[in-house]
Amino acid sequence: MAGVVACLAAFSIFAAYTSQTQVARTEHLLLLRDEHADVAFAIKAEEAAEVEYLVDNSVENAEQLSATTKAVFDAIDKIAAEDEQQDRQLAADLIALHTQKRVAFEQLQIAVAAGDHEEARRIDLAVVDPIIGAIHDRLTEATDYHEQEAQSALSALRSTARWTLLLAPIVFAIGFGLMLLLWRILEGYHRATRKTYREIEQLSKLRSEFVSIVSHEFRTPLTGIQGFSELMRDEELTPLETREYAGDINKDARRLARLITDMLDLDRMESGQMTLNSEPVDLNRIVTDTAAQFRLSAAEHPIELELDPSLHDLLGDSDRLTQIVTNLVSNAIKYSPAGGTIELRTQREEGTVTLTVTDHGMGIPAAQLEKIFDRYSRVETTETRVIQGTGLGLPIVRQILQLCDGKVWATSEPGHGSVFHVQLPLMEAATPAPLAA
Amino acid sequence: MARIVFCEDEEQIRKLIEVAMRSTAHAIELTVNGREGLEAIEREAPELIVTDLAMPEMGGFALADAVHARPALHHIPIMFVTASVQRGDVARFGEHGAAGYIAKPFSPRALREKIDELIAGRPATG
Repeated sequence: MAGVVACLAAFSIFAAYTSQTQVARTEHLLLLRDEHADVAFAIKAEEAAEVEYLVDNSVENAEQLSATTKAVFDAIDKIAAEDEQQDRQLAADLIALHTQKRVAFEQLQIAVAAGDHEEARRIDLAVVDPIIGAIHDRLTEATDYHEQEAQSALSALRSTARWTLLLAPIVFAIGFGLMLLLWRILEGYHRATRKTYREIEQLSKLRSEFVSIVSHEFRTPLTGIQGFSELMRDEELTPLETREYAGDINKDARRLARLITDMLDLDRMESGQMTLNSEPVDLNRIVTDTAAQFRLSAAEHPIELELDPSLHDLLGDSDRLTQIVTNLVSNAIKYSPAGGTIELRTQREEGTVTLTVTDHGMGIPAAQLEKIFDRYSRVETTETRVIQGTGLGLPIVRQILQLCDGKVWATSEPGHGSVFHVQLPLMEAATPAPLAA
Repeated sequence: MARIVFCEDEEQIRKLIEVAMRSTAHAIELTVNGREGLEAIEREAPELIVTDLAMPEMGGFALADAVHARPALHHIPIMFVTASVQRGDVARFGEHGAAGYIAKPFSPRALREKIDELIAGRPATG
């Protein structure tokens, strides 16, 4: 682009300079023509004054003649002052011819004074007239030459004007296009800056919401720990009560520990510091065990299983697979009304194993289906605002699956429920040969 | 002796409240969200309401607004139990007509003291 701009600038400067030079040259030639005309006019005036003087050689006529001669020299001096050699040559030729003319005039004067009219006519015709003719010829020759030059300068000026006229719209179009392009580029930068600013603002908002949520999640178990321990310290309790409250403190402490582990796990996974084990694991067993635990802790949600019996032991990380199933079921329960069934299904497919977790809860708006796996991101609606959660469960699931070349995605019908799909690469552990019947 | 309705969705905290209030002479009713809390309040017409803020179905602010909208109930003082006590939050408590608040984690003794202050009609903040 810089090259195009430089070419346009060079063209404009060249066109302006050329036009200016050609105009100046033409003006100068016109001036020279005027100077030649001045010489011709002065010579004519001198001739007239000479005739007057020959007829009557009075003092006034002598002065008049002297003035016209001076005018001739002044006019020739102007030509002599020009820069060009041919002009100075012209001036020299004119001086020489004029000198001859002065000599002839003096002879004429003598003849007239002697009353020899015959001789006077002869000098006039044979000497003076040819000299005047030569002066006019010389001037005409120079004027013609300058006329030709003026014509060619004018023609060059016309040509420059034509080219300028022809190229001006193109130059204008290119210049306009470049300005438009520049404007677009600047606007693009501006838009990108505004977008980045909005993203930073959004991120900062999410971060502060996250801090607020995490703070809430920390404070709830801390309340139990502080409260029950204070009761044990300050009040008279039976051994049974003491044991019970110690159990409550323990439960809250474990909840805190789980929260901290989740946060640290996610950080380690995101920074690539976590590696997964590769051991034979039974996915169906993991699903069954997790379901059994939730049936105890969330009895109001029936959990139904549909497990693929052809699924053999896989190679994977048992703890992380358990974390995936736990987080997805916990999420399904959290966003379902009491009594809402949760369905867990495993299926072996061509080269992959899929696990789906289906709930019949509030569902997820289409625009949020991808975002729910981002850290700090929870779908904020009036309904979800009162649901507790750190928003760490789904991001952890996605991070684990990224580490083992699997993937997770959600489909949903808002108001009717959601389905979370997990796809793992099928890496079967070497299974023992079936026993002979 | 006073009747107090508590609204709290966290089971552990409900249990802590129940144990903490056992040593007082007050009659307490524990509910799990604002909606159940409102039903209990309409039924019992208690001397004090103590409510959590973030709860499913109906949160603490919505409950406070509903109570204040009922002429028969709007004189009952409300105390918020909150996990967030930033400057903006405290201002919002006032907007929803809070008589006082207590921040999590709280000690059973502090909870009892604040409740007694509010029932005695003294200002209770912080």
